[in-house]
Amino acid sequence: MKRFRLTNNNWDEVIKKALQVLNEGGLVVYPTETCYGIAVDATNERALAKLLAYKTFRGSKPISIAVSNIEMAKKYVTLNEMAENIYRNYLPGPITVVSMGKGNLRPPVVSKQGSTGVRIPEYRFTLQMIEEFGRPLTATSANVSYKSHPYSIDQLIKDLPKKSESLIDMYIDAGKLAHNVPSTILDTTMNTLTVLREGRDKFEDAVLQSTLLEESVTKSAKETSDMGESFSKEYLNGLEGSTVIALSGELGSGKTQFTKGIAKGVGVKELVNSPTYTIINEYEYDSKILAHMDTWRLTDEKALERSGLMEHLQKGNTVVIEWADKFYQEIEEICRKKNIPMYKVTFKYISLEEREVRIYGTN
Amino acid sequence: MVLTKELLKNKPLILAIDTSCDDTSVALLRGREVISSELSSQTELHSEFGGVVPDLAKRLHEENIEGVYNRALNNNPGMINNVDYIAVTTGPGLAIDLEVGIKYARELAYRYSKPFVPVNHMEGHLFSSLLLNSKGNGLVSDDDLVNSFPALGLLMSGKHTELIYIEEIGNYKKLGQTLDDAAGEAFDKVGRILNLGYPGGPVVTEFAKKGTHGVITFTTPMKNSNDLNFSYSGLKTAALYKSKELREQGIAEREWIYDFCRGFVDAVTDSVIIKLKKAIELNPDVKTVFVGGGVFNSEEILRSVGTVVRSYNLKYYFPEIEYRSDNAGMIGVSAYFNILQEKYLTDRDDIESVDRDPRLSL
Repeated sequence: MKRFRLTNNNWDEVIKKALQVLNEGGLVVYPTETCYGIAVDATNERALAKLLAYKTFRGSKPISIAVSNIEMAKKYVTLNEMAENIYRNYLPGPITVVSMGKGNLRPPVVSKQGSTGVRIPEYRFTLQMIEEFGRPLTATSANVSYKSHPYSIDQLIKDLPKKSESLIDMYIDAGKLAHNVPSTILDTTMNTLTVLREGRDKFEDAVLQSTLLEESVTKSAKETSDMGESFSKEYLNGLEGSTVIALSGELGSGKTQFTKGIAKGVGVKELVNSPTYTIINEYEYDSKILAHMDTWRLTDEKALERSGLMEHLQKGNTVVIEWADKFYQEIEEICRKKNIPMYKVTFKYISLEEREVRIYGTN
Repeated sequence: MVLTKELLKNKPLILAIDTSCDDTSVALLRGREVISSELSSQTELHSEFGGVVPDLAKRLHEENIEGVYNRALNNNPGMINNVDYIAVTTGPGLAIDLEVGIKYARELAYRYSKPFVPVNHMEGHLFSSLLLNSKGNGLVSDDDLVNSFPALGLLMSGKHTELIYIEEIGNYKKLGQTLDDAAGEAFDKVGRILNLGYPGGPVVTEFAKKGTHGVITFTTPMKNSNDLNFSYSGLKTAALYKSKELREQGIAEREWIYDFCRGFVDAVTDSVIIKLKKAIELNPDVKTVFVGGGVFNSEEILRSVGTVVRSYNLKYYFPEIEYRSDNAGMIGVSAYFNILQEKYLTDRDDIESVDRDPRLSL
C-alpha cells in the first residue's frame, strides 16, 4: 500500500511515512499549488539517480528544489538583493527563483553554471512536510518527460510507463488539484547591481576631480539629443585617434538620446538605436567609425574584455559607452594606459520629461 | 526572385551556422525541411519550466561550435560530405561573434570544397515560419508559399522591431522600425525595473496573465505618429515612474505587479497592432503577413497579431516556438532562398573576402 489519501486529520501520519521513505532515498509523489510533484531528498545522490531513472529521457536539464522557508534556501544558495526582494514579495508562491549555489548540492539540482532553482510551495501540507524533513526536496513535476503535468494521481498513473511506476514508493493523494500553470522561473543570477554600485562610486569620485564643461536641464528627449549634437561638434570634430565618451544615468534617463545627437554631430546618417542587445553598434562617418556600446548586459570584466571594446580603441574609433559607471575602473585604466581622452556625461531625472545633463572633461 | 513550385523542387542539403547572438547554433536542412537544429544552450536549460540565457562572458562560440556542429550532424562526421552548401550569418550582430561563425564556415567550405552562402540574420527571422519538419510538414505548403507575395513582415525581438514590405523573395523595403529600444528590450528592461530577474521579458508576459486590463494603464507609444515607426523608450520611462510612485505609496508589490505588467503588455501590443493595421491599409496589395522573433514567444501577442491579420482576410504565417528566438534553422531557410537565387560563392578569393557586417539590414 503506497497510496495515501490526505485528509484534514491525517497529516502527521502521512508526513511520518513520507519522511521515512525520503530518508531511505525513496520517491514520493506530493501535491503543490501548481501540480503534483515528485520528491526525493535533494541532498542524496543515490536518490537523485533514482529520480533521473524515473523521469526517463531528459538530457542534462537541471531540476529545481523545494524548501520550506528563506533560511533553508540560504543554506544552499546565495541570495543577492534581487533574490531577497523576490523571496520577500512573492514566496511562498508559484515562482522558482534561480540563484548561484553554495557548492553543497550536486547535479541534477545544480546547473553546469552552478545555479539552482529554488521554490517555496504555497501548499500548507507540503511546507510542513519539508519543514519536518529539514532538507530540500526535488521540485519537479511528477510526470515523466514529454507527458502532461499531472493534476490528479489517477491522471499521473495513466501516463506512467510501467518501469517508472514501479520506482514510486509513495503517493500523497490530495485529490484533484486546481489547474494552475507550472511555476514561473525568475533568474536572479544575472543581477549586476553589485558591479554597478562598486563602479558607480569610482565614477562619482572621478567626476568630482574632472572639469565641468557643460551643464543643462533639458526639457525633452529632443533637447537631450541636441545637447549631444552640440557637444559632438564642439569637442569631437576633427579629432585624431580614439575618444571615449562615458555615459552614466538610470534606465530611460536619456543616454541613447544623447548618443543620437553625438552621431548626428559627427555626421552619421543612419538611425541610431539602443545597443543593449547587440552590445556594440557601429556607425560609419567620414572614414571613421562611431562605436556605440552598452554594458547593461555585461556581468563582469571578462564580458567587457570580450565585447570588442579593445579592438575599437586599437583602431582609433570614437566610442560612446552607456552604463560606463558599471565598469568605470576598467575603462579608466584602458584609457589611461592608451592615453585616450575620456569625457564623462551624467544624466539625472528631474521630472518625467526633464533631465539634468552634465558633461565633464578628462581628469 | 519569383518563386515557383518548379524551383522549390530543388532541395539541396544545407548546413547553416549562426553565431550572431547569445547561442551558438548549427542546423542541417534539406530545402526548407529541418533535419536537425542544435543550440549550445539547449543542454543547459535550467529546468523543465524555462531556460537560462547565457550572457556575453559565457557566450563562448569558439568553445561551443565544434560540439554543436557535431550534434547537428548527429555525431556522424562523414555526413558533411553529403552537404551541398555551407551557410553562415554575416550580420547583423556583434562583430567578434560573427567572425567566429564566418571563420568556421569558411574552413568547412575550403576543406570539403562546398559553396559558401552568406546569410542576413533578419531575413532568417522573416522566413522562420517557412521551416518544415523532417517529414516535410509545416504551416506553409509550396502552393501557399508561391502565392504569398507581396507580403508584410513584422519582426519583434530583443534587438529589432521592424515592419518590412516583401515584394518577393530577395526584394525588401523597410517600412518602419524602432527609433530607440526594441520591443523585446523594453520587456526585459521593465522586468529589470520591477526587480524580476533576467531576462525579465518572459516573466512580465507571465505576470500579465494574472493581471486585469485597465487597472494600471500606460499611454500607447507612437499612437498618433504618422509613420510606421515604433518607440519604446518613453514607455520604459513611464513604467519606471509609475513603479516608483506605487512603491512610494507603500503598497505591497504583489498587490499591483500583475496589473502593472498587464498594462505594460497591453500598451506594447496596442502599439504593434496600430502600426500593423496602418501598414496593411497603406499596402492593400499584400496577401500575407510573416512574423518572427522572440517577442512572439508570448502566445498572447502571437494571437493578438493573428486576429488583426485575419480580420483583413490575409494569411498569417508564424514560426513554431523553437524557431521564434534566434536559431540556425531559420538561417538555413534564408540560405535556401539565396541558393535558389544563385547568391553563393565558390571562388576561394571571394569566400576569403566575405566580411562580417554588424549593421546588416534588410
